[in-house]
Amino acid sequence: MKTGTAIRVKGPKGQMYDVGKQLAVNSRFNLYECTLEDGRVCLLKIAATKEQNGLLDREAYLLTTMMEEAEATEAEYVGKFPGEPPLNYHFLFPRVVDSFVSEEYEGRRVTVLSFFDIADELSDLAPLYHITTRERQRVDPKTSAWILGKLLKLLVFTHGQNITGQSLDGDNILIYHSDKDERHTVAICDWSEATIMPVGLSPDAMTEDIASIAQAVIVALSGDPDDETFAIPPHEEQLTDSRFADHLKRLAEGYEHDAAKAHAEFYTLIKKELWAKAGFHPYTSTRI
Amino acid sequence: MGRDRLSNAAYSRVADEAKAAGSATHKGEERHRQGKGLHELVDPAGFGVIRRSISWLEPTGKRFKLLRGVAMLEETRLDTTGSMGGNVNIAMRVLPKTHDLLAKVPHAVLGRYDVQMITSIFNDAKDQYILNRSQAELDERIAEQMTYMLPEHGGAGNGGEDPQYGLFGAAYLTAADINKYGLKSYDFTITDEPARNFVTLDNLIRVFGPDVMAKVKENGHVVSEGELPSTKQIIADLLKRAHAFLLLVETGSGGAGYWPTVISKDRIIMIESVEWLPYIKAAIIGLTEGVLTLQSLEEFLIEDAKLSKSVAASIKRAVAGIPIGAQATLPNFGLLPKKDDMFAQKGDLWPIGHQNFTGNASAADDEDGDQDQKAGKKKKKKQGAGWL
Repeated sequence: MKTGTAIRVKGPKGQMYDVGKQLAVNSRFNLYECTLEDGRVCLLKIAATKEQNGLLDREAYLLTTMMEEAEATEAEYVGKFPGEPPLNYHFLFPRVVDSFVSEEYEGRRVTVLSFFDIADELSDLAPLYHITTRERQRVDPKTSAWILGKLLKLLVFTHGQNITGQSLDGDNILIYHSDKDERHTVAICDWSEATIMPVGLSPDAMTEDIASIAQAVIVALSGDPDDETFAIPPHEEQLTDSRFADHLKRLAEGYEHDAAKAHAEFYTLIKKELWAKAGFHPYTSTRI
Repeated sequence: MGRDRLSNAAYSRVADEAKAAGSATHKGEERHRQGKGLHELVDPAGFGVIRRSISWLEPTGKRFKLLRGVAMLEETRLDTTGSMGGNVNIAMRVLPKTHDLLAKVPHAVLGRYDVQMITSIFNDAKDQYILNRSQAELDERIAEQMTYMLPEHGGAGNGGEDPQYGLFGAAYLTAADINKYGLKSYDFTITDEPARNFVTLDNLIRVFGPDVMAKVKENGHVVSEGELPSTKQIIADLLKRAHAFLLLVETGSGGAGYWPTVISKDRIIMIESVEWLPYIKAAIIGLTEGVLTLQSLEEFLIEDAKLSKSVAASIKRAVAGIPIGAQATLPNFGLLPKKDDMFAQKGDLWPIGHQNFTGNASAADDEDGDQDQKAGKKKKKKQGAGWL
């Protein structure tokens, strides 16, 4: 698709998607902004070639299944534990608006994804690694803690459904932080490499997922992405106690395969030991 | 005139006879009682050992007509030990449904091919017959040959069975025309138990006859008697010429822990019941061929296979992890000859007028189909999203 021209993609039920700015390109797909008929802005993903259709087909299926499971789990949880904070698993991945094979585009699969649950404006979402590489900022340790906590929560959810394989580096972790409100969250954008293993996930696969998110968080703290010791740059106020850095490093080095255990241990460390009286911490970053 | 595909009437003749005799494998059991051994049609050592799946070229004047499309081989290998002993009865009962979904229904997943099926059953090495293996057939002979098989219901209770001999046959003693086009056939193993990690020469001879290694060589493969391949290597070699899958019935017998050590997890499918066999196979084949998507699969299972929504959803979830579109991405997938194409001579791969017609001799050179499958597994670094 050429950018800068008025392109409309027609869905199978006649709905029209106005294709806007190209956002990303790789061997699997091209990614664009697109505007729905009601004016809301989504992502439109089109397979790079017909051979990649299967990846987008499975991605759409997994995301749809995950959304159904997230909503069902939420309903059950709210029923059992009224008054408790919601689980909000559905904030952590995109919603499938539509997915179809477009004969107009050489039989390639087109998937339309939204982050409406997370952000009113697509521009409020950015890849995590852009914080250091483009904004030249680093997040503070408390901000990194909620990023890691949410990603561990996501892995508890996906590993529970035997789903793995999605890229979990800073390129694929979108962070929402807006000056308009105090909400902050993260989501995994692309799931085209994810798969489901009904026979169960191997410990190696689960370990790799946990290690990947820990490494991405270390980079957001301005750690060196090529440093295999996963050293975490110091922070005068928030890293006076080494336990947070040690825990993060341990996860990054691949010492944990159980996401639920990692999540529980992490929250005990953060909420009960290190920063028990901290309360809500807004997104905070400083210049590198 | 060439043979016709499996018809309901032809199948019913065979099935009714089996039903009257009280068992799908009544002829095999009778032969065994009479001390006659396996019938040649299902003896892996019989009929020249190598199983051949050949496209039918019907003489038409001085030319040859491709009567039913390019031959596509589908082999299913059933565990018939212990609790799995009734599998042949089930396979016989569901055969018409299997064949319909592969070849006949409006959205048949192999509709453009001439579907030929091999049925195999395997036991334990301690049983009398480790393997029964039929010929590649397209008509009621599929069902007929099932009746000659001998499930021994044994298994020896020794923590595993021996499908690896059947896998050896599939990998090295099968010649399928589809491979000559660079495409792959389909192979399914159904079991609940682990296998053994090795084959022995004695057992290979016991199963395939004294000329087994010569036959392997005749079929174009290099396998050393002194260094026989492991089960893992056999499967790796099979995957060069077939889309192979392991359908695992979870009975707590240890299969789930074993099979990921010899075949990648995206080729292991958990099935709740062997009754699901036709639907699982059709789903896998359809997704691999690219004629079904995960989106259209549920509709296919409900409309064409007449399944309930809940069963269709369960099957979809079971197969969602397989390599979708793997056949469709192979070279020549879109160039295959079609039914009724005319060929200049037997042995030609490409019909008259085809863009590859002049390459007929050279196209036959790359028969072992190894141009697209590399041995060994290298951990793949994920490519980034490529943000602009």
